[in-house]
Amino acid sequence: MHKFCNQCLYTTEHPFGLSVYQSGCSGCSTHQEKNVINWDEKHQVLQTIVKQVKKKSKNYDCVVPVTGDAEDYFVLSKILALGLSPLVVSVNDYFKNDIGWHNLHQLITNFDVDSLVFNPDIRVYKDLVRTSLRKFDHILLPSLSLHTSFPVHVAYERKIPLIIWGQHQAIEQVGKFSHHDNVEMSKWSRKEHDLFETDIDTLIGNGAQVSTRDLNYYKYPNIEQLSRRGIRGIYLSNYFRWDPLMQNQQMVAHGFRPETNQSSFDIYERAGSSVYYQFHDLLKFKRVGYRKIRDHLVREIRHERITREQASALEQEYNQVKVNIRGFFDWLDVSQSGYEWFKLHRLSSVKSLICESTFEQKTITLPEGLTPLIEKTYRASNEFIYFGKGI
Amino acid sequence: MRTGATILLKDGRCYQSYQWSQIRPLGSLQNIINSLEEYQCDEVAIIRLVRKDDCREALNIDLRLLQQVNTMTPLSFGGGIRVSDDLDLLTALPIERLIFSTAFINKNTDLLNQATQSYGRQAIQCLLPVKYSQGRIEIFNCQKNTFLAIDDVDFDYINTHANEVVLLDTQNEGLHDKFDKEIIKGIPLDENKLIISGGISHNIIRWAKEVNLASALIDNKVLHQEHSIMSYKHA
Repeated sequence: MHKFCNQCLYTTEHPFGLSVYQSGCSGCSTHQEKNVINWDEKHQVLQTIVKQVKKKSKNYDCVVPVTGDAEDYFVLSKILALGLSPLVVSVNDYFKNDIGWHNLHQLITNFDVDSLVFNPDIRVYKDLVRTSLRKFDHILLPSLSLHTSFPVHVAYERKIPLIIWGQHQAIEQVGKFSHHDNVEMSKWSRKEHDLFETDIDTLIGNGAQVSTRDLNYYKYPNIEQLSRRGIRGIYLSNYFRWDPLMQNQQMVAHGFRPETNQSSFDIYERAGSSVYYQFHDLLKFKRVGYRKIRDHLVREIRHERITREQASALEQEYNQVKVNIRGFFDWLDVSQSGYEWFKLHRLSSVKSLICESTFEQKTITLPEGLTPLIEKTYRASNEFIYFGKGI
Repeated sequence: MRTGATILLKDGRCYQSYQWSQIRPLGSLQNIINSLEEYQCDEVAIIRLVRKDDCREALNIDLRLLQQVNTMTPLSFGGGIRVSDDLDLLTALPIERLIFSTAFINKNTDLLNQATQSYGRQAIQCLLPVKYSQGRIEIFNCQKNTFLAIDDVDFDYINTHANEVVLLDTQNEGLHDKFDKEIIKGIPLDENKLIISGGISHNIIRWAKEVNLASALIDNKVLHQEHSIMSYKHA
């Protein structure tokens, strides 16, 4: 029997787990820490890490894994303010639209940083996406595998001592750790939180026609070797008061383009993806029973920009929004009959949310607490661009 | 001195406890065990989060999960083992040591003797959740959900039946470098049969080695940084 938090919208069925107390949940109480932490002291701790790193590094001080998201802009702005020399590392997930490519290239040019973009073998990648969809109702596991391992390989191979991530999603959502724990990147955390207890071995298994030789960068590096080389990864959200909507809005000044989003009021997070608020959102609903909008609403309840009642009403409205999934199946080279079979047999529980048109207009009125943080949006003109230049 | 980790188990999921008052979710048991094995953890104590509301059904859920665990790391298990029938459920589990708490407080000799017969005396550990404040030590009785004065606990009995005693600093669990050393001074047992847990840090490990404790179980911290247990081992 799952329990509901009486402060936010999460239940104990959250995929990261959740502890529910009489007055809220582990996520809500951890969020409250943000109001009492002495962030100046936290900043001093970060400065100490920076000093240690600068002593060790010979070329780049840190690797910064990015996708071109607004959060990456925020992270990079903080890293440069700390005086670090970053190498920005990105993995092409082949799901970007023109806004996504613009945002990635704008990030690199605006902050004038060195970058490395890895384009995985498209045949292997698509096979893994197909298997991931078939086995786990998830299409992002291959890209998440790469996003959470390739930058670590780069740090190891180039002897860069630090990897800097933005937020720790499990802390922000369910309060899995205290901010005082200063939790760092680990192989365990990657599997538990980023890959939902799967790994590349379970992804290939039976079905995928993939040779293990092609999967090196999908696998996390040897942790003993990482440890011997002194490579560690930290999360900036342990050192700065994390407020994604507020800080992401400020990134528009750096040239970040928010994308029109029918599935959430958050026009910044994952802007530029052809699947995140489309097929991925539908599959999330099928797997865990709620859509991305709930994560956004819970976050805003905790930041006291909306009430629980407003959030609940908004969730009901957003839950009715249909998503266009056809583009993904075209990308995956699935035939019309294959597409129809999948809808009939694997998506029957969510068929009411599927639409075939490019865009379905639905106007949802937002509470006053949110509207000042919503900027002008852009609408994608080209979806699923394999390779792109943003400028 | 051995260096291990504590995992708290409840309803088939693992948790972290902070100061005996707040619990946070941690994740899947096998995933955690895999990582601790990779970190070369000496031992793992899996302790069920039980209070007076524990029931057989909840115990069965946790035992079924434990039955599927695949590891070479020595496991201790305890929490909610209160009657002889419970011992029968444990025989097929991949565990090397049994942890009892209420059985020692309530002097459940039948249960402890049966456990000793099945597993050997070297496998019997006593868990004492301890609170130290203003010079007084109190011990938590899990079954009654209340703290007892130290004078109400028979340490000769514990010494006779337990091979090792885990002292869990309830006020400092989940915190860094806070284990209260005064607890050791107040517990009338040989240091070399004591295991400490709660608020463990590198400093505490160094001190524990100096006073010749049997083991230190690092609570929530082991998974917070990659390979951190190695630095604790070499503290």
